[in-house]
Amino acid sequence: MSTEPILKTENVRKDFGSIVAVDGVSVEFYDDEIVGIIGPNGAGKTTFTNLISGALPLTDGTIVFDGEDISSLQKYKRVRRGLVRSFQIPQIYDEMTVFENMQASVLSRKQENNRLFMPTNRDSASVSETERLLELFNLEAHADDHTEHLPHGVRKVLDVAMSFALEPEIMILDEPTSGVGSREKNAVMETITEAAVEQHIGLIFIEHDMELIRDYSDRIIALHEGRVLADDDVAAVMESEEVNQFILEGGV
Amino acid sequence: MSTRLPTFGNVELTETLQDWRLLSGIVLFVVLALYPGITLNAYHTRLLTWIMCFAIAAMGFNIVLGYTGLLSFGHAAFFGTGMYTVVLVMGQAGINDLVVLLLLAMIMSGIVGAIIGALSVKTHEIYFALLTLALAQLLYILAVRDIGGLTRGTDGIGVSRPDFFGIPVSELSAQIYLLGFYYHVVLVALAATIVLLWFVLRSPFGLTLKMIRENETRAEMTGVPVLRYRVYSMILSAMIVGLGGALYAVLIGHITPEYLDWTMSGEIVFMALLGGIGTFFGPVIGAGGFIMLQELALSYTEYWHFTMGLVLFVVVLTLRENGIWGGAKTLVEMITDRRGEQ
Amino acid sequence: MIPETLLGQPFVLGHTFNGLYFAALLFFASVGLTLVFGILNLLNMAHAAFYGLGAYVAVWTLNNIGDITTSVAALLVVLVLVIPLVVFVLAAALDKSVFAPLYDIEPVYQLLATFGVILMLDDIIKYIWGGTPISVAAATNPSRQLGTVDVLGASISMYRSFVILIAVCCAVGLYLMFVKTKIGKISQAMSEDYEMVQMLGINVTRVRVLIFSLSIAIAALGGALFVPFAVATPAVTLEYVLLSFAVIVIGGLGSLKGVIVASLIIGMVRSFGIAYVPAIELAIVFALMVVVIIVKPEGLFGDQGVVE
Repeated sequence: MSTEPILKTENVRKDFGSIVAVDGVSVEFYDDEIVGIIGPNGAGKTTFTNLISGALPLTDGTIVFDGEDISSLQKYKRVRRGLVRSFQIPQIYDEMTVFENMQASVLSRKQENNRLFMPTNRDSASVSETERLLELFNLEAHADDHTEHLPHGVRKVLDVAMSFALEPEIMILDEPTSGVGSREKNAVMETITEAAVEQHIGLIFIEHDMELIRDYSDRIIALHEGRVLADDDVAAVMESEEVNQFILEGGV
Repeated sequence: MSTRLPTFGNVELTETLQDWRLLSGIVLFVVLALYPGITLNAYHTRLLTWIMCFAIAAMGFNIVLGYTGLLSFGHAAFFGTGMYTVVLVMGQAGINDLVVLLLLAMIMSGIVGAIIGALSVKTHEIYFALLTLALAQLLYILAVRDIGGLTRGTDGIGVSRPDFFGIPVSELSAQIYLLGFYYHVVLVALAATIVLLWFVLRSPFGLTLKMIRENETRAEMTGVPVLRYRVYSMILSAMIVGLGGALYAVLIGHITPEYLDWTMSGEIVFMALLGGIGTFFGPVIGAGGFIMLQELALSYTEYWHFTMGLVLFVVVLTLRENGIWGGAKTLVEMITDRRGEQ
Repeated sequence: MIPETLLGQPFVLGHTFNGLYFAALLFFASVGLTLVFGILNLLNMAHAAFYGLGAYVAVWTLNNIGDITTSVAALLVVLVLVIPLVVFVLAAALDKSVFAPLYDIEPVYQLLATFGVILMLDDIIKYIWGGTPISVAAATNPSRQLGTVDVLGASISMYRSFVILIAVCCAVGLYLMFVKTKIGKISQAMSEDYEMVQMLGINVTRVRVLIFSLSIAIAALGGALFVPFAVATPAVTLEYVLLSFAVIVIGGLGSLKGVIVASLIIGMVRSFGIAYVPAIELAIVFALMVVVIIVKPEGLFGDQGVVE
């Protein structure tokens, strides 16, 4: 395991009026591990990821990424530094083909959005990279399909694949298998984790399915009422009395 | 829709198709260029020049609506800025060269576009439409009430004919100026706009605008500075609409604040929508369709507003973003598909 | 440099009164626009065109049905009850035909389609009444017959006072309708969750037609009340389309309270603007609209329900 954490939160807090959604969370993430975040509904999981990605401003605390304080950095700049997230409900471009969706990510990673005169279909560098990524995620058969008509599972994979195309250091996945049929869940997780290991991407994933959490995480962070209940390796967290009391038995 | 090279799909077919398109484009350009010289028909030449000015404006407008996905009801501000720049620079600074005037008009419109773009950058949908409308309306009031003492209010200002690179073409008679010179300037400007936008909207920049249109959250989470690109989109759009306005100002020879009014914005929206905001060439077709329809309706009845309103209503409800150009394309595809099956 | 007489008390009183009168007209022209948007999710750009229509119908009716012997009360009944009622029926028919397909499309397309309706209505009015301005003849003009009274040195028009009174009644009436009646409560529920109300088995189409027609009728009422003091021209329609949008944006889309407050603000801005800074009086209105959209896009009361 790396010695320096790539991402660190210190006493991160978020209030919505009088409600404290995230209450002083201090955790560390490394770029070569897969961390599962668990917790009952309302534990602050999604709020926490929104704070990290910059979708919500912090009430208090700091977020350090790659040695730098990014607490008030704009969203797109965090992405450019290598802190990327995917979405629970797939966020993809509907009136564009799968290929264009993917190429959009590739070009954005290369920060070539401002190139004015090279038609995208003639830009061989990004075209071949897009093709490679589509193959990696088994999407090449859909390359020319408009995404609005794709089955949900494929949309989900595309959403994750588009985040991978950004070559992040850390990737946050908000329920990567929600809405995916139970038989395909393992396949989806397999694809994602393999790609992550291969490209040295640290994964943080929120999941309700305890089996997936057990099978795919190196470490688990358990949140409860906005606080960290446990932060340890899989076996230790699963056996923790508190976790069992508040999360596992509470019907997740 | 993009046709990619080199793999996925039939390379030969797409290349032939592009050749075919390019060839017909060149043929059309040559035919149009020869038209006034052969027919010497001043009425038709004037009508064509008029259409081409608005074709430029409608294409420029569609960068914001069709590609970036934002309905602006304030594009008259850019059209009018282009017009007033020409007349004011000519009148106040004495600059009389067409090319300089057109460039200045584009720059001024671009600046207005940057301001309106920056102010409206955080709004969406109807709020964006109403905000751009209100901002443009402020410019309109500025011109109508002649604040600053430049515009002569509703009386408007006459525009004299500019020269071209030191050649005193303005000394030609009005008819020859139009048939032999000005028509061709506008034609070249339209061709240049089409070629420019063809490349720009297919480039990573154009793809970025489409990303913003389709899903702003996702675009931002892909590392795109969305707000900045929305302003870029407005600036580019404003410059091209301003070019259309500047060209039109010289054509009609007299300008009034009406060209800054929101009904003017409405007409530009109408043209783009009629032709098809979801297509590249739609706005050009729409400008032609709108102006010819208006001429046709006017020749039969003084109540052409009714005809235009009805057409707009029906187009919105039936063709939507496809417009007549997209509709025609779909029709052709259906016919060729059926033939292919047999 | 403001002349001293312009600061005198009668002057300020007179302009406050005129501001109230403007506010009343703006309220009539815009309240339906905001209700139809808030409850039915239809952004009807052509809404204020019915204000213009009301003005034309009123001129025609007053000039054709009455003569010098017609009592003022009869003239007022025509303006306040007969014309809105006729337009109500017309609007119900239009809702079932022209407007019905617009409810299901995106707001941006609603805006464009109803812009088409403005163009059509514009020519229908020109076809019937011609393109030149028309006005109410002196013999049947209630504003002339009611005259003025002197209040603290300011000359106050009785007719304008009547218009303000009707606007107040109309606002109170709408409030009571939303709070007390079943239809009103259903409407409020629809503004919050249209689909849910539909699923409860309530005939939403009937409520829709009622709300839409009532809204249009109020706009026509405004136009009818406006015209004894002005002329009916095609430009009136376009002016009020813009002003009504300014009102509902500043007040907050969908809020009854917002329309009332914003009408008062714009009414006063216009009245005092015309007196002190006539060149930029309209510019102030649009500048206000710009500031509200940028700083508080939901408007003054837009994040609340219809009547809160």
